[in-house]
Amino acid sequence: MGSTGFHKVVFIIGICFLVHAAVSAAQRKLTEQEFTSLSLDIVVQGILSLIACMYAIIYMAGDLKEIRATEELENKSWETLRNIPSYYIFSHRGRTLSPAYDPTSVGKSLIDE
Amino acid sequence: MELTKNLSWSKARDILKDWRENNQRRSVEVVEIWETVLASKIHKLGDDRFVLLEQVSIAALDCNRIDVAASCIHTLIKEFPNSLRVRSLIVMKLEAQERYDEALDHLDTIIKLDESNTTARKRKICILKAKNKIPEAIKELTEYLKKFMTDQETWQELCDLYLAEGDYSKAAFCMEELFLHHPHNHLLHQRYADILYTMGGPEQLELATSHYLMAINLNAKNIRALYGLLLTSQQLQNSAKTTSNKKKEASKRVVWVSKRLKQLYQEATGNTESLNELMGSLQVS
Amino acid sequence: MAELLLDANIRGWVFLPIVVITFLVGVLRHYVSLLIGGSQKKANIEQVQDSQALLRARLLRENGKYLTRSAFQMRRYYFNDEEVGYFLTQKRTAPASNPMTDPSMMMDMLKGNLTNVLPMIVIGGWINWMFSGFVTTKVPFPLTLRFKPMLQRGIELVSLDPAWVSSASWYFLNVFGLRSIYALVLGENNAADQSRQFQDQMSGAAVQMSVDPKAAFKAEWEALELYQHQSVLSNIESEMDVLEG
Repeated sequence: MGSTGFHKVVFIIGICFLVHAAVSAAQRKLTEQEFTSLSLDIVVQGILSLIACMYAIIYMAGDLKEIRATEELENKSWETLRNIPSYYIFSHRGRTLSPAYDPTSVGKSLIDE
Repeated sequence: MELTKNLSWSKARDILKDWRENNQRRSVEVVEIWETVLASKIHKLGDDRFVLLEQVSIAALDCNRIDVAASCIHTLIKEFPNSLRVRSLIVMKLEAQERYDEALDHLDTIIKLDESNTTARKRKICILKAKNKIPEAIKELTEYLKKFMTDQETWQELCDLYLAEGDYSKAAFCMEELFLHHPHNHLLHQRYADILYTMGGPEQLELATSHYLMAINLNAKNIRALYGLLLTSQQLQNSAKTTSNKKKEASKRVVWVSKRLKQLYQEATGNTESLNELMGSLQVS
Repeated sequence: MAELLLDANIRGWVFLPIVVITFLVGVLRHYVSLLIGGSQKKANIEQVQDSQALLRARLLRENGKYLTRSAFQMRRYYFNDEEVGYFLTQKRTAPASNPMTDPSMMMDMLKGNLTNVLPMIVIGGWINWMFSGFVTTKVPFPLTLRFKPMLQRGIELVSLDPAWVSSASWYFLNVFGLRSIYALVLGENNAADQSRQFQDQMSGAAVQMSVDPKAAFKAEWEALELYQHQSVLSNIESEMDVLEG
């Protein structure tokens, strides 16, 4: 659920229509002497553009989260969960794969003891 | 490599952030992204850059790229000359170079400055671990947990070390502590059940069954838990010590879980032929 | 009642300036507090230990139902046993609450006053003096008379509709209402906070516990004693209908 160009266009159009409805409502209020209620077309335009805006903004605001808390855990594996950065040790065997690895410089501390 | 091709810096930042928050190790990739994409764009990252530099330094140390780590740590020192957090990074660098005595000196001063600093205490334990002194590390961990008893990372670490030593009942205790914190995490229940199953014995198997069920209940797609349930139930079914009533229950469970497994495989691959064969050979005596 | 019309100059020279002043003062206060409040609060290790023990005991009560009976009893024994239990053997004295004896606490108080109370008084007084006696705006809904002292501070007009807001009240509304705007503008864990976190090193464990540990221990001990352990494990199977088919 990402924001697409389509949703952005819908949002911009919706906002424009909403503003237009607001402006025309204000204009009527100013020009009409006996102001009683808004005409139907303005009300309909306002509501429709509001719905369009709401629809588009839901898609643009970013991904929604699942309501169920376990949903998030479903895709996690034990391998990620058990990985604790605070307890990393650096003298593991993967070290030998590094281009900077120098077999003569390390391992002394273990031999010394 | 494939990963860093055409990667924009903002995308790279998001990837690293995601890994950082999810505790993914992927150190080689982190260093690679850093070197090819982010290192030249560091000023664009704003205040995110400090956390990112920390992440990169740890990753660089993890794959023995001391040069990368040193430059990152250097930037951080310039920014925060007195920070203890940066100081722990220096300690990690010393550890990676196996200069353990110097590292320990640093750590002792940090703890003297701030006795509630958990990172420094954890690093001390890591040094023991790196020297392969597992029993001493376990002792230190238990001392640590007496003071900080809700530190879940440490309970988990202690659990792993107990498992390495083959002390399953104590490892199980640590797992219990973990799922007291997160009772809705299926992986913890599954892991706990794994440990109990490894211990063996009728009581443990019964308990393992309940926890496998709990894990399956929380996540119906946890294949490992399903297989675990299958194995425990089979073992209960075949054990001489179980009562006939329990045996009946166990056999029902075997049927249920095999059906579940077949269904999942059907959904994933569309055929279950090979699975039937494999199931047959999955008897552990 | 005749409709009241406000001069446009009131909007330009009273209404908006008050908003801007309050907002800017808030931002300024934020940075000043960062500047002088940068001292590190070191957690006492004993306090950390106590708060973590309490947290663990609470979790045991909340999630103990996932444990077996023996595992639960073992943990309760650790906290509540009469001879070795944590809550009974750890003798803690009530923290010195007298700020006069603790200079660091006094310093904290001073800083808090300096950044929170003082600007309130100074700016509030200034606004009152500068913009007193204006009717600035009207809330778009009718209100009862009881709201008059809240919304019309500084204007003693009996006949004025309570929906009108006076300048002094407008200032107070801003002070309290702009809080979420600050969070938006300054960010919830905004830039300054994050780099400060780095400076302070991360003692994630440093949950400050200012209450008397003795009383807290007693309460937790009681709660644990009263807790009836009931395992949820026994009926998980029937819940999931495993044995049905």
